[in-house]
Amino acid sequence: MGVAVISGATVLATEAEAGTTNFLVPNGTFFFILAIFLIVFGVIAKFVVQPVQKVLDERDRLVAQTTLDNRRAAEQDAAAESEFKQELTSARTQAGGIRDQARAEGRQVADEFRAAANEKVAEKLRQASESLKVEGDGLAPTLNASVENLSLTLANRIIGVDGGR
Amino acid sequence: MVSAVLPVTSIEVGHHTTANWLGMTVNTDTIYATLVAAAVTLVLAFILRAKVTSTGVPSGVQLFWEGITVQMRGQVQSSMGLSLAPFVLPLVVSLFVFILVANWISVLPLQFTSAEGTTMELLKPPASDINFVLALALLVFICYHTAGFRRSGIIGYPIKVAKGHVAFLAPINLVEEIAKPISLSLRLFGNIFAGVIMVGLIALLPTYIMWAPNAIWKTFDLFVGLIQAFIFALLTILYFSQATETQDAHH
Repeated sequence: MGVAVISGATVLATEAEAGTTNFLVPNGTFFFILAIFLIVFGVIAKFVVQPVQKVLDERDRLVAQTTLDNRRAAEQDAAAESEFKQELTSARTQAGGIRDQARAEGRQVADEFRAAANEKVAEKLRQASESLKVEGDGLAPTLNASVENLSLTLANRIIGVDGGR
Repeated sequence: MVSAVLPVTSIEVGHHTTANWLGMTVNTDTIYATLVAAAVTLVLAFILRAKVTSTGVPSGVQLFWEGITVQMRGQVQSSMGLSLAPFVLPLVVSLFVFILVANWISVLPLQFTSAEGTTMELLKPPASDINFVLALALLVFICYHTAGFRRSGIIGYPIKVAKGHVAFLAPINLVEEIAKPISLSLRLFGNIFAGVIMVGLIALLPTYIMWAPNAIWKTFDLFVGLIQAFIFALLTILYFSQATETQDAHH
């Protein structure tokens, strides 16, 4: 390997002595390379870095927008939730009120009917007792009249006297 | 000695096929490989351009670019802030991807036999040519100094650079300033160039065993290429942040 390095240097030295170009000295290639790179630079600046930065900015904007949307949606969700709960509570209260009212009305109706029925029952009872009384009163003289004969007959049977028969 | 040297001389380091364009000597193999790297980068860029989406599911190409942009943006933001020099981010992203692709295309085992009968790589890593790394490093050098001048003023900036944190270290600060582009370019150059030499050395092994170290080395070379591209981009950001910082920024 040592030989390789030394002899390589020898080759270079002989080349330089022979008047051939030293490869460490730049030549006209420099300007062509520079021109090629400047073209590449121009194209990349215009067609790559600009659009890519635009894309990155746009994406950042979209991400920020999405975050904002998410937050807003969460806020709306929470608001809707609380509104729903509030509505639910008021609806429950209302429903309880309506139920109570209905119960009260029902009781009232039932009471009314019960009162009416009681009245009717009382009326019927009164009528019945009246008619019974009338009938009783009607029958009483007849029965009173027959009491004499019956008691007489009974007494006669007890003492064994045939009272006129 | 000569017989011992013979197999070694078949390693040709820093040898390029050249041509004469616009009155300048150019390394055509480097330019060819650079064009391939640039084409790959541009195709990726245009695919992104055609299919970029912010609401739909991003494609793999978009994720690739996005990942790099996000990573580099984080680096720029943490070291200097994006507003000081808005062109730093595209510059750094371009540097990273371009160097990465340029380093990685050499992993493809494409070889051809030249007219002289020597086997040569079809796609040499462009960063193994000093021109490539110098072009990028000097561009960075000029750009961050421009940003520095814009930030601290025509007079204020050189004074700030020379003074650094402690005034009496001014000579060292100047040396450091000169060393920056040299180290930036030679670091990349050295790493990738070493990879080329390693491949050349491994190629000297007998064919029946050569594949094993070659596979291991090429895998490691992928890692080296990635790390070097990343370091180049990272140091670019660092130099920019050093050039654009102001005195009151320390407190």
